[in-house]
Order: sequence, then C-alpha cells, then structure tokens
Amino acid sequence: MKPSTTDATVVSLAVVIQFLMEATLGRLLVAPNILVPLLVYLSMNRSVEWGVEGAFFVGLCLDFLTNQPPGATSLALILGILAARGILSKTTAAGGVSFYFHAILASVFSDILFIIFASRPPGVFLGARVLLVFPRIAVPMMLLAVAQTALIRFRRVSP
Amino acid sequence: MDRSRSKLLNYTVISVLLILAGPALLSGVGSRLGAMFAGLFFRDQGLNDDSYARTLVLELMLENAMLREAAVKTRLYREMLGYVRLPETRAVVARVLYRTEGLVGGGFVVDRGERDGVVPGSVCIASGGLVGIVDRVNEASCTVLPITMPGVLVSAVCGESGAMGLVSSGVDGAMEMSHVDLAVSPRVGEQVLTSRFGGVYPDGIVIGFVSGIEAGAPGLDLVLQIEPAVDFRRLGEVLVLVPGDDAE
Repeated sequence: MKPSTTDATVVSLAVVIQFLMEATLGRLLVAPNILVPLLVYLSMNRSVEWGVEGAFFVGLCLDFLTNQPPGATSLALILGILAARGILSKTTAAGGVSFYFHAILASVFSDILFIIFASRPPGVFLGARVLLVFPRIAVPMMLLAVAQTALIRFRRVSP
Repeated sequence: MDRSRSKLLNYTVISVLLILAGPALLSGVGSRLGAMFAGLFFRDQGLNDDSYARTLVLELMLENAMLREAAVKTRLYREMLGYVRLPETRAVVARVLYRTEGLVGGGFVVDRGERDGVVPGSVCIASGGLVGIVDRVNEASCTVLPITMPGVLVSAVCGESGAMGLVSSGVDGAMEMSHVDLAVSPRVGEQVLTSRFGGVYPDGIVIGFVSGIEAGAPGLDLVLQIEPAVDFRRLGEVLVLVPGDDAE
C-alpha cells in the first residue's frame, strides 16, 4: 500500500487526537471513536488495505501509546472492519448508507474484540458494561451526519 | 491466494503473535512511549507551583488517616497491641495517564516510576482514600492495581465498631467486606479503614463506607457491602507512598 501523504497525515492526526481523548477521559473505551470511521472511509474510498495494513499500524501505535497489550487494538481493528464488511456484503447492497452502517458495525465489533483481547484473563470484562461501546461510536456518527446534511444544504442554497 | 488475502493473513498472525508475546517483550516500550508522548501535551505537575500545596494537603490527609487509625486501635486493643510506627515513607504526586485492560477492573498507569523511587508494592491513595497498590514499575511509569480489581484483597477494619475482615471486589465492580465476626455490630454508614494486619497497607486509610449488611456463611460470619470512598471513574491525581530515604 502506498498511502498519499494527505491520508497518512490525517490518520496520524486522528491517532494523536484519539490518544489524547483516551488519556484526558482517563478510561479506555469511553472517548468518542474517530479512528474506526476514518479507517472505514479510507478503505472504502482509497484503498481496501487501509482496513488491514493501516488498521494494523494504527492499532499498534495506539497500543503503545495507551500501554495496552501490543497487537490487541490492531487485531481488533482488522477483524472488526473485516467482520462488518463481510456482514454488510451479505445482507445489503445499499451504497449510500453503507458507510455509516459499516463504521458503526466495525466500531462495535472492534471494541468488543478489544475487550476480549486486552482483558486478563481474556474476556473477563464482557458484560453489561459492553453497552458503553455504542454511544462511543453513535456520537461521532451523529455529528458527522448532521455536518454532512448541513454541508449539502449549504451547497444547495449557495449559488 | 491473492495478495490482499495474504496481507490480511500476515497482519492477523503478527497481531496474534504480538498479543501473545508482546506484553512480556514490549510493555516497557509502551509505557515509556505513552509517558513521553503524554508529556508533550500535559504539563509536568512536578514543576507546577500548585503541586507543592497539593503534596502538603495529601501528606496531611495521610497523617490524619494514620492518627485516626491509631485512635481506633488504641481504644480497642490498648491492652493487646501498642501503636506501631510505620516505616518512613514519602509521598510522590502522580497523574493517572490511562486505564489498562478493560472497563471495570483494569489497572491505572500513572506517570511515576523507578526514577521517582516507586517500587512494586507501593501503596497508592487519592484525596478520597485508598486507590490500590503498585504492581508493575517501569522507568517513567507504573501500573496501579485498584482495590476494585477482582483478586485484590485488603485487610480492613470498621472505624467505629471495630469489625475486621477482608475487602474484595467482584467482576461487576461491587465491593464487599467478608469474614466479619458475628459478635461485632457494624452499622450502615460507618467508615471502613485499612488495617495493618494484612502487612501490605498502612493503618487507617479510608477504603469506603458500609452500605449494607448481609449474612455470610450461615451462622459463621457477616458480609458488608462497601461503597468505595474514591470515585475510580474520575481519578486524576494520586499519591504514591514510596520508601523514604531513611527507610529500612
């Protein structure tokens, strides 16, 4: 994969912002998830390898920065994005909304997989608190949808 | 097998290998990187003027806790035990960088390590009370196991009734004090303090408050439900008690 400089810069910035949000809030899996939607977008619109190679290196950076077991986020991201893509390709052919579904599904899968991989013993913290992973992706996706709608309206109104 | 599938397989295998072998080989790298990177964005509290005042407040809090425990012990066990001085310790103010491994029982990574004198087994407290115990120490950071983590046991005593027992937490985060003697009469709302009988924690640090009382094994003991004094979800700054220069 040869990512463009712009894409790589945006992803690097997203890693830094994600790390700062995690560190500021003091708990993992509470900060809004911006990395997964970005990786999903790039894998859909640039190169599918953003969902594999990009996810691996992004996850590894985040693991090192947040002192998690190295590879836990990488594997969770790769498998989460892959699983979401697999499910959506089997169940729907919708193109316009598939980014949102893909990003939400990938984020939820990735977070649940991360809990399984990072817990010691694996999976011990699976439970009702896993529900926290839903608002983590819902908030950025809602903001994105609102921003997208506003941008479209603005373009229609402006000459 | 096409190239993208081959890449997927390769990176998945590498990730699995990293998960299996990474913590042993690379955990120090991670904590070091995290601490260095966080230092770029957050001010070093050690250089902050406010840190001196915070240290004084926390040291006074510690002294207060020790005196409180001494009073309880003196009243209850004056004939049996004398007041035993704690080894000399000094307090290091630390900032919580992140939680590790999971949503409920994960440890805290704080920005103090070997270079600050932190050793495994150092006790970590916050303004509210006991946080936990240091488990793993790297050069610039260490991991604190909170008392809400399943498997962490704390020898404890109730401040007013003198009921003694072991405080532990379940996977759901609920904290309880077990093996409490039926002969004592603990009350809802009274303070639960650390006891030196466990040999790990200093006396008299607040753990929490009794929120409920249940019968344990029939006819044998009581189980007290404990509400932690520390809000573990909003833990920012903590105090790590490290051996003093003149400690044995």
